[in-house]
Amino acid sequence: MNEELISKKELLEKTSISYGQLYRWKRKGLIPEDWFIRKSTYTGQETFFPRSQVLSRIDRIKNMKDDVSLDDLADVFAPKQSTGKQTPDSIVERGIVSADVMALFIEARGDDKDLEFGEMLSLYIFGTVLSSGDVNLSEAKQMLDVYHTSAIKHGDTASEMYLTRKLGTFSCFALSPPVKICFDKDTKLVRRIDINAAMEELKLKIV
Amino acid sequence: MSDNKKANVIINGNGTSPGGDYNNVKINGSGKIDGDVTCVDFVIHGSGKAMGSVASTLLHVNGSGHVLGVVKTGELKARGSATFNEAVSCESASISGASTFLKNLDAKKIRVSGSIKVDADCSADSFFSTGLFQIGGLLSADTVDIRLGLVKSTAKEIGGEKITIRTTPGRAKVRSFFGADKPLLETDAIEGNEISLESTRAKVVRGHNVSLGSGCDIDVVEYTGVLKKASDANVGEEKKV
Repeated sequence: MNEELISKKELLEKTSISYGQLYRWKRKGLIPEDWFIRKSTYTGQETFFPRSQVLSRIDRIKNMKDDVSLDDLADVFAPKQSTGKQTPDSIVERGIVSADVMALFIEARGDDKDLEFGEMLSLYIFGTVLSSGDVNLSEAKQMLDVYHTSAIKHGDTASEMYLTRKLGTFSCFALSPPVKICFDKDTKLVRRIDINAAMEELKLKIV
Repeated sequence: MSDNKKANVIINGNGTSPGGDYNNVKINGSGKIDGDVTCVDFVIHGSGKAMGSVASTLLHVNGSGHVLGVVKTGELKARGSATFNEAVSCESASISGASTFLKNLDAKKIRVSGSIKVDADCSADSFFSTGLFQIGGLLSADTVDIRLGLVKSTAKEIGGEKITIRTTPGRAKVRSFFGADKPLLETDAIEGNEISLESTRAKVVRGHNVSLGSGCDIDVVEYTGVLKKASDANVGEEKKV
């Protein structure tokens, strides 16, 4: 991927954070190691970052750091599932999914026991897709099937889902970046879901 | 022995024990732990080798120690010589002998009074050294406080909030006695908020407030606040950003 980069100096200027903060956040794992890209320039070695990713990440850190400790934040950004269960009621209360979607879920599962993080995540993705209006219920269920299959096959690494439609027929697939894809011209990309981003959003709602 | 009580491993003299989940592990003499070990205290007097990883609340090496696997511990104390092949993370690390870390060293507090060599990155909330260090990667801490030892210390890069590098004048006599080189810190780049340096050779120094004392030789200084410079500090280029 040929992403636009931002130099460390410009980053500090733009976000008005200090070297100390940047290094601290790096140590705490809030900014992933592989975002630090070293390049030779005419002034010697310089560090660059993927521009859009790092800017939005720092923005979020700055907004949240007053309410949440840095260590908790690191958990939020870590691309792994957190632990802890939630009751169906508290999930609706926290606005993770609407009560209607929850009812559908309980009906499909057949009980209303507490939900594990993995279940919450698929439910959250399901709810977001459904409420976007891009897909109908059976298509959303189809997407969920694909998500579960890929989660079993690839673990947490499959981190993007593509929902497409060609001549009205819905299709959906999961992939693990970095990959490049190309559709035929009749295929319309309905929606792209970033699982890691969804995971972050969900963790924030639980914190 | 009841099931819920974990066994101690004590090797007196010469011996090998398999890895496992123990209470305390103590090696007096020469011993080897042949696998991953989880325990409370891990103490080596003499010579000890752990072939796998170590997870403990305390790891003391008096004499010589060698851990081949990943180390996760609370208090790491290395007096004597210790070598760690994999990443080490701990609450506090106190290095008073000669220790070598082939991968990252991560701690809340690092104190070096002997000599330390880290081939990768070294990170802590606070890093305090009165000894020697050689860091192949980035040395990063909120406070980096370095009293330069007798000879040259190096780090690829140093980054943090408050970075202080001092020479210790009291050691001048000892130095001349040994005919040692002047104390010096050599690094590619130093980046921090408050930077105060002495006897430092760096390609780039970037910070808010920068103070360069005697013996500094810096190619480029970039600062946003105030730059203070001793008369015998050598600076190639100054840029106020």
